[in-house]
Amino acid sequence: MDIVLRAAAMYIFLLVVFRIAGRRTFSQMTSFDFVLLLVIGEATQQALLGDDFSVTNALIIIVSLIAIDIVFSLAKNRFPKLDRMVEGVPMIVVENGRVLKQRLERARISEDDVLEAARELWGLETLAQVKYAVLEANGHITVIPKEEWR
Amino acid sequence: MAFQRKTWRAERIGWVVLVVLLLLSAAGLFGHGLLSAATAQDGDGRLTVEYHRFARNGAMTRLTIGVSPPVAGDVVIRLDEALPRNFTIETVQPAPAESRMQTGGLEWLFRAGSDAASPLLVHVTLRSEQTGWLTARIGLAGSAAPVKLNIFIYP
Repeated sequence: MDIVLRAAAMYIFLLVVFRIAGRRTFSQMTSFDFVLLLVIGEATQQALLGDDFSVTNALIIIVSLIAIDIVFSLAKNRFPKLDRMVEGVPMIVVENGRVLKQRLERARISEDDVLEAARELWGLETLAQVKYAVLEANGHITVIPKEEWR
Repeated sequence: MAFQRKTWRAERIGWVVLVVLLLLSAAGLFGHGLLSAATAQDGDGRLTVEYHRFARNGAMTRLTIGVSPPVAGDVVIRLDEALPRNFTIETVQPAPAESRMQTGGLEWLFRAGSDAASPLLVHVTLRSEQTGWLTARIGLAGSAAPVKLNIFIYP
């Protein structure tokens, strides 16, 4: 009983915390982010397992987390509102070469990040070649170049 | 596509299994829950033991031994060797005044106060060290039909 509740509580808690942290936090991982993620994992493990190191406990926790995840994915399919709440929505940050500064600022990404994505994906040199740059729900930036640069 | 359909069907069945497992563990099949909570009484009805039917290896489990009134003077509770053999007895509250060896187990002696109206409760925390089924017996000294505990310890 308590294990299932513990797993559910940790799942919801992590979901909320990572949602608050914003989508860019872990999508472009620096080595420090990676270490932070490991430390969070350790702390979570303590909370989940307690002092019970039995195989059964581990199995129940894994089953609980996966089941919650499945339920959430089904619910997100069924209720688009929940999907938006949990996952967020994609956002246009560059439109026809024009940078939407305020949006970039609020999303805590820089023009350089957009340029990096543009270079990586299409080999573009300037933002003027970009038709749309979109900050996706998963934190990645996708770029659609103007016709002539495709 | 036929294979994909089969995969989907397997997935759906898997989901159902997951949910059933989840419900069962929430109900206490794997310890700590309604299905796991058990109460046993000895033949004379003087000793009652509340315990968990299901324990997990390496994890704590608790049991509460209640001696119904009138309780006065010395109370001797006798455990057969199944408990000490399969569990580390971590705490006994209140601590017994004396703990001694006994053929096939051990004995705890408690000095009860003069308050004869309320039952004596002994809380024991155990950490399991084995897996599998076990039957343990706890009784008052001289009792012909001690309490029988059936415990299953998950790996």
